[in-house]
Amino acid sequence: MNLLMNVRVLSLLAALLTLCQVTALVVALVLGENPGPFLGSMLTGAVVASLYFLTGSAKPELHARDGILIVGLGWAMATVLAGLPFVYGGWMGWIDSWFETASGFTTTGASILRDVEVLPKSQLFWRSEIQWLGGMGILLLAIAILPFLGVGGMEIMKAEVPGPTKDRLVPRVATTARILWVLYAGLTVVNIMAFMGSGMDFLEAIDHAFTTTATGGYSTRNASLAAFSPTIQWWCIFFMFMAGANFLLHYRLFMRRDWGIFKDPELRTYFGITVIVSVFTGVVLMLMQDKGLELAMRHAFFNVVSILTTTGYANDDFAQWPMFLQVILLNLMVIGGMAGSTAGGVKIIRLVMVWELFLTILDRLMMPRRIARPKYAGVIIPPEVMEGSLILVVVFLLVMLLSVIVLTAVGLDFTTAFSASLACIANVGPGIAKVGPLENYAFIPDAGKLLLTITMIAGRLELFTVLILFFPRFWKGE
Amino acid sequence: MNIIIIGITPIGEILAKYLVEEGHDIHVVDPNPESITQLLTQVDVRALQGDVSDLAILHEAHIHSADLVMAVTNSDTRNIVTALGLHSLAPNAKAAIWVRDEQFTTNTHIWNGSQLDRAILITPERNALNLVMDLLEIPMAFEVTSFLEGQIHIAGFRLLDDSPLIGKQLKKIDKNQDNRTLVAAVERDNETIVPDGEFVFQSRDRLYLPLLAGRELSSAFAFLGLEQSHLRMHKTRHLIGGGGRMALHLAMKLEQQGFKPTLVEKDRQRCEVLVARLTQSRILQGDVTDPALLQELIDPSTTYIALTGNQEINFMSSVLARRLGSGRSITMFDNEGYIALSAFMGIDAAVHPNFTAIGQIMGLLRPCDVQEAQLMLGGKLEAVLIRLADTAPLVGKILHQADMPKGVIVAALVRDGQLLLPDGNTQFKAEDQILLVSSRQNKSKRKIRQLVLAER
Repeated sequence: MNLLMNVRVLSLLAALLTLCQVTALVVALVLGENPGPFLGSMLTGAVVASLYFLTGSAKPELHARDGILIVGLGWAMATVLAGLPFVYGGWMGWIDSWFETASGFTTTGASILRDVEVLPKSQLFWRSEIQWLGGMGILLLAIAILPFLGVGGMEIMKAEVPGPTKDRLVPRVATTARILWVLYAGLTVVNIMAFMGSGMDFLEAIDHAFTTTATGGYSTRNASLAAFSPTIQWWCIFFMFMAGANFLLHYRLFMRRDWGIFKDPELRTYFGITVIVSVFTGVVLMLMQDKGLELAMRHAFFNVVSILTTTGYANDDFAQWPMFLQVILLNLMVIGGMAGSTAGGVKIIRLVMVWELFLTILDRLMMPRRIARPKYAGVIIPPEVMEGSLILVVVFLLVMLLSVIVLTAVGLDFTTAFSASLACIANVGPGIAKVGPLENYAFIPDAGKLLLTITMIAGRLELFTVLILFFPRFWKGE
Repeated sequence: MNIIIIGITPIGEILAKYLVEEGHDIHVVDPNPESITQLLTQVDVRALQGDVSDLAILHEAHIHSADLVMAVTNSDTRNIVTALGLHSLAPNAKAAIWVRDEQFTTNTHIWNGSQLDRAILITPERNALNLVMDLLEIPMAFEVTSFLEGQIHIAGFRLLDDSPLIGKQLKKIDKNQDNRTLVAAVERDNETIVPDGEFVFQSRDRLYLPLLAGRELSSAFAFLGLEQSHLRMHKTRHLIGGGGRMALHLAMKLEQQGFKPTLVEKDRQRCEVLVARLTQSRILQGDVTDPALLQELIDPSTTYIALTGNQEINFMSSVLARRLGSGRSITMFDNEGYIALSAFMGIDAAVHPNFTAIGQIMGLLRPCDVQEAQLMLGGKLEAVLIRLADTAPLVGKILHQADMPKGVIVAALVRDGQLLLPDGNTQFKAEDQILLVSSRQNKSKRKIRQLVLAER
């Protein structure tokens, strides 16, 4: 392992985060709010970033282990550094700030704030921006704008971009990262314009567009999106859906005019699940809660898309819905969005692959001589990808159950513990019962918050990158 | 004509044999002395032992005066390189080369402008594959051959015992003008007959009918007294024996048509390749001569197609499939001895890849008015597509006054792109394309040629 180089990369990451806070500082100054917390935080960041000048002798080689360590430590450091404005502003303690920031960077959207509306607008802006930075990946941003990281960039990208296989759009990792960020930023800009055109004010449009395209779910209102007009809510559904789709497909459609993407099995499954579950939910809401057609469908589509893409916005308290609909939503959390998107969960492509494997095994049972291999889009799924997908689903559930055990041990009831664990590992945010859409995570004991923070980061980095850090073999390097 | 055949492969042997029968002088070049000894016991050719890259050998084979050079070694690249070298060694010779790789046979445009442009590709596998597809589209046929890229087929049908044709005289059969059916040839007791009006049908006759693209098969079926229900093919299940190149490409074509064929291949590694290339097909690892396996796969809606690399396995597995109750079995082999046997053993249809190659070469050797030629019935019957030049004696004549020699029939006519079945009152015009069917041993060939070929 090349520790010196790791430190050097991390110092750059600190510099990057410090620079990003300039925007929040500007917001504070323009609105006449106290710039102190940001100045203090940026000063701290600058001190960490100055390590760059002490590590000039580092060799630039980065290997797979370095990539993992950089991503792991990078996320740990970013979640601490970016949370400093909340601590310096006196709005949160250290543990709460770490939870809130991690929940932001991982685009979970679970909050410990009982009342968000009391925070200054600059603090809320920074909270939303954290989510936006985490959506496409803070280290991917570093790769995109710091060219020399290209050396080990692939290792970092592998660890940070979700999905079972990592395609590069173009031969160079740095160019790929840049394209992904440009598409992401483009989608955000369009989203801002859509929100503003529907009557949101400028700052809130930016705040919400940041957390929509990141599928994060932080809102500046206690009532979340229910505080806005139906038009805005429909736009929000659209942009959540877009952000939950693979950005590789966005690239092919918008930059290559490739209409073949609509044949993509994962996209079709994603679309199919969304429409079928939403319409079903809408009909149930119409029948059981006497809602009108538009209202029922808006509530259904909004919450289904919000949960499936692991955004976590709410426009209705789905804790009041029939229990079986809530259980359906919990299942959607496991599924998550598409690979290569900003969404969490185990990703649809993995479930499609596992389903294909299941069918293949059925085929072999029926006819032992049959040679069958699970295929995706007509191509055999390479065994290591298949294994990776299967084991991820298993580990996802195991880690979640472990988290349930710990949360019940610190005193939560089962339903709350279960849905909180699931909502955090899948990066959704709200669960059901005491962590429902209109509730928050403030009441959970500190031990529970720490655990959930690690769970969120592990879920965002698709588990292995974080879990491996707890195994001695990683540190021994054998 | 002077012909050089490079490579004693099965296809080289069969070409040598037929070309000698046609009266050509042949030199054969092959590095293996045993193959040469073997060949010389069967065929009257001059054989030279050596490698094709040895110029001395080629000169000894009189390459400078050769009219046709055929490169039919087992290596595609060797054949292609030979054709390239011909350009300087024998600028006037035609070249025919055997290529098997699908990439070479489909992407021929990459050769435009090179010396290979002039070379004729001998593609027995591809021809055979097309014939298998034709056979699948013409139920009940036991043999088929195609002209003008499938616009005209000549298909052979067995006359069943309950056919209304049996005992009837050909001229007495009530002919409906629109849905007329023409009988091009009949095989009876190993004898090939081109029928005239006096001909009387018997049970077990095998009839060759020209089928024109765009016309319903149902009229031919009605004529033969076959059940129309056989024409409903969408329920057919395809079982393919073997997983080689031909089997793979057949399966791909069937998948394109929406079928889900089953392939049985012995070799595990090859199975993996098939699984990777095919999306809808079922791949089984196993031996097609294993009755237990076939039993599991075969039912009356199954068409079994044997395409392994081994003709004995093809033959035996087809017989087995038929015995186990398959609806139809189609097999591929080149052994002439098996051709007569196959019908006897209950095999429904067969394709003979190397015979299609002979057809390709025959077309090349005849005068330029001959556009395509094909052999049927294991070489006993030949069909030749001819374009009538202005000066051909047949032009302007009416068929029944044309004094056509016995044993020859005009089976189809193409005029201005339209496909027609000729009758006695058809008058021939210049630029017509006519399809002549005759027995290959026909004595009056010279007379036919005088009639249809341009006067020089």
